[in-house]
Amino acid sequence: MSTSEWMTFYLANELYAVDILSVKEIRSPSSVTRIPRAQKEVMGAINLRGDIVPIVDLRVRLGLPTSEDTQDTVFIIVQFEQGSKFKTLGIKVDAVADVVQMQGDQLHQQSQQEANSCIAAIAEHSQGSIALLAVHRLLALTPDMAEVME
Amino acid sequence: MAGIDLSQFHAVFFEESLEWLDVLETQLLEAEHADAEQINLMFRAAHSIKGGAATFGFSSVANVMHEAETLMDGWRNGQRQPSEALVRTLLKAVDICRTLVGKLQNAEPVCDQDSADIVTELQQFSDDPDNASQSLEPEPDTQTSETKERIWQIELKPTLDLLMSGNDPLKLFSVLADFGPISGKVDFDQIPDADFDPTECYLSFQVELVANASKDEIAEIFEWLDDDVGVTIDEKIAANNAQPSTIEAVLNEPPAQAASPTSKKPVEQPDKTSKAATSIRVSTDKLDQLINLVGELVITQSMLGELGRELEGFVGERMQTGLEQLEQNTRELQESVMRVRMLPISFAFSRYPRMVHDLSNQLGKQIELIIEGEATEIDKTLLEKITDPLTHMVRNAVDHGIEKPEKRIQNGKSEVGRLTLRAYHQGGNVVIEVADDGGGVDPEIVERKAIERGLISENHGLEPAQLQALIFEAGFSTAEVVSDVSGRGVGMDVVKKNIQQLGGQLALKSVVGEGSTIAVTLPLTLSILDGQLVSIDNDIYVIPLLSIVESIQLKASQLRHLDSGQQVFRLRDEHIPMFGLAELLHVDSVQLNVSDGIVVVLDSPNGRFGLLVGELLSQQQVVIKSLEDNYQRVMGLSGATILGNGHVAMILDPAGLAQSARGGVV
Repeated sequence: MSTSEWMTFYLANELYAVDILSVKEIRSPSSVTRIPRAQKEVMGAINLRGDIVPIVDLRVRLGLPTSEDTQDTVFIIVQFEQGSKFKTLGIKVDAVADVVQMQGDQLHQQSQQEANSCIAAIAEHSQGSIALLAVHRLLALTPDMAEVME
Repeated sequence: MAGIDLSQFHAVFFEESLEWLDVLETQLLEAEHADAEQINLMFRAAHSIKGGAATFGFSSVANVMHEAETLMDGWRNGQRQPSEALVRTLLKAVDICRTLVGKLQNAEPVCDQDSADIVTELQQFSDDPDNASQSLEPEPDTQTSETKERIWQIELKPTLDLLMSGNDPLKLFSVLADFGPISGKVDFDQIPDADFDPTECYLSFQVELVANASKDEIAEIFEWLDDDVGVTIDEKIAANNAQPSTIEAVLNEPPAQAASPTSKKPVEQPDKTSKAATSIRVSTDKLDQLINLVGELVITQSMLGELGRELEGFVGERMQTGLEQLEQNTRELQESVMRVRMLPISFAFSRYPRMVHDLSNQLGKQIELIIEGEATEIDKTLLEKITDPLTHMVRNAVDHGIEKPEKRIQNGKSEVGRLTLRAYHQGGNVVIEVADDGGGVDPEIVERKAIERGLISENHGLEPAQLQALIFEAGFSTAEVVSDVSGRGVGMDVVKKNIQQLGGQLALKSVVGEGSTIAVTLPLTLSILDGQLVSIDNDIYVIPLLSIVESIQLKASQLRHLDSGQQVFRLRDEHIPMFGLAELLHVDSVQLNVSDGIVVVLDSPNGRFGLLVGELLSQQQVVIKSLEDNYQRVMGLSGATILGNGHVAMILDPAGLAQSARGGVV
């Protein structure tokens, strides 16, 4: 049975997690420049050592009520592969919690997935149930400019 | 015109082909589960290799890829399924092409025979889609070995003005090489150390030819030379086997540079002639690294500049002076580095005369190619990336644009078609036009085809110009017959995609019966621009300085409202539409009154327009960073940058803004 490590965090007092292997770093919130015509969950972009990295407000993405930033609010910077390219993305969450190990049998794949869902699975854990994020589905990117233009 | 030296592009072709072959291989391995996009990708890969190979006359590779492409076209149309045997054969084709490209790269001789077997094998699949064929035994090639060969020694001592008389030794030798393998020596003792005139021929040649040809046949080749050019042709009696080596070694170098020994990787080969001191070849990686570093330096410099302004007193003053010096130096450094990257567009254009010549012969057309503005400079990266799309456009113009002579005469035109390649600077952009005086794009044919292929519905309500623009859509081709040249409907959508990726735009102007002009508008460089910083609310945006005509303050009374709700103002003799930046970009912002802001008048390919912004801030050079790397393209933006304070600012794209304003996407 395979074991995987997940980094958990809080969002509206619920536990969520991302695959620890996708996490590049955790940053305290910095100045975000908004991106015109962006999806509503995209807060904008930050300068990550010279790279332009979009930030997704996870509360908005998941349809939760927005809240003021606290001193625990962080950006989790994740990297994922999309069409043979690596993309970097920041996720704004309320607070990071822990790193947990999970066995394969703890994961319950979401059987009925909505097309737009970014929750890959729910895991049962001693700390409660944890929603595991599919980071590559957080940002619904338009693949081609042509479609934007038409 | 002296021969166009295509060899300078060979390295690029080899690299690209190998990359495409990798793509093809990867995709083939998944062919059984491939979706439409993947099949398209494979098809494009084969098409691109074929196109390049045909351009350079590497028919061995082009033949294989042509067959591969035909098979994949079947997949695309759903006429054929990728069977295991077929995939295996295609993979074999990939391997063979890779070997062939490798040989060509090393200037080893390659002939069509090398690929004949695999071509036959592929053809069997296309002839008989259901049958996984057993490979035919190829007929052994017995033609050449039996004939009696003689060894000829040919000496050519041209006069200085040989090239001026339209003769090119390179051409002569390539004709000579048709007889059989040739090898040779070049004597460049005559090259002067100073006062080198590139239009003069300082070289003399000694060539050994192994061929079954008579002296007269050989002499015929040199018939066109002036009498004072020394040509001697002697038969070498010696029985020892002359090493038949390849003409490529000579052909791959332009005559003036023939001194440098043929190398496997020309890019890294320093030129060893006496001219070596004047130029040096640097690998593109090193150059790009330099550019990136300068980019970072500019950011740091502008950050320091901002910090320095906050310092006061004596130290502050000294600091200011130092920083100004630094700024000056940085700017000069940057300009120098950018100049290194700029190359005249003739590097791209010079491959077309040959191509147009060959294509027009092949298609039975008469075409006069006119090239204008070939000295226009453009960023090296752009130049490399524009070459492929341009090739497609030129091919299309020759194949579909210009009509056959008979038809031209019928239509009352000169039988010689005219194809114009034109490059010029416009504002902060380079415009490249491919214009033909052919039949034009008939909106009605386009409409019919588009409906046939399900691109648009019967009642689409599109204007003729919009219909014509459909030729840029994927899977569209108006060619009735699939030809070797173009016309499988991959060309133009690839062109459009590539050009958009470069931050450029395509515009088609076409009149039925009179011809078509496709204009490509590209930024001058991809990495750095002079920007005007502007603000609305707390957001800062960068406008490319070169697009700004002027900035003016308007009173509300100077604005007129048109019926459509569009606001216009008068600038001297011109009525200019005005848009709020916030509205164009769909960002929420406090409603800005025209009297409280500033109107920046911008020049774009779609005409001038005014942009209402809150405030004008400083002007500075900014490094263009891609939004696409981690996000996606955004209409109206050409990228983002990092300001001195480390914050991100979006860079506006006037052409895109104008388009979105005009297209009513607002």
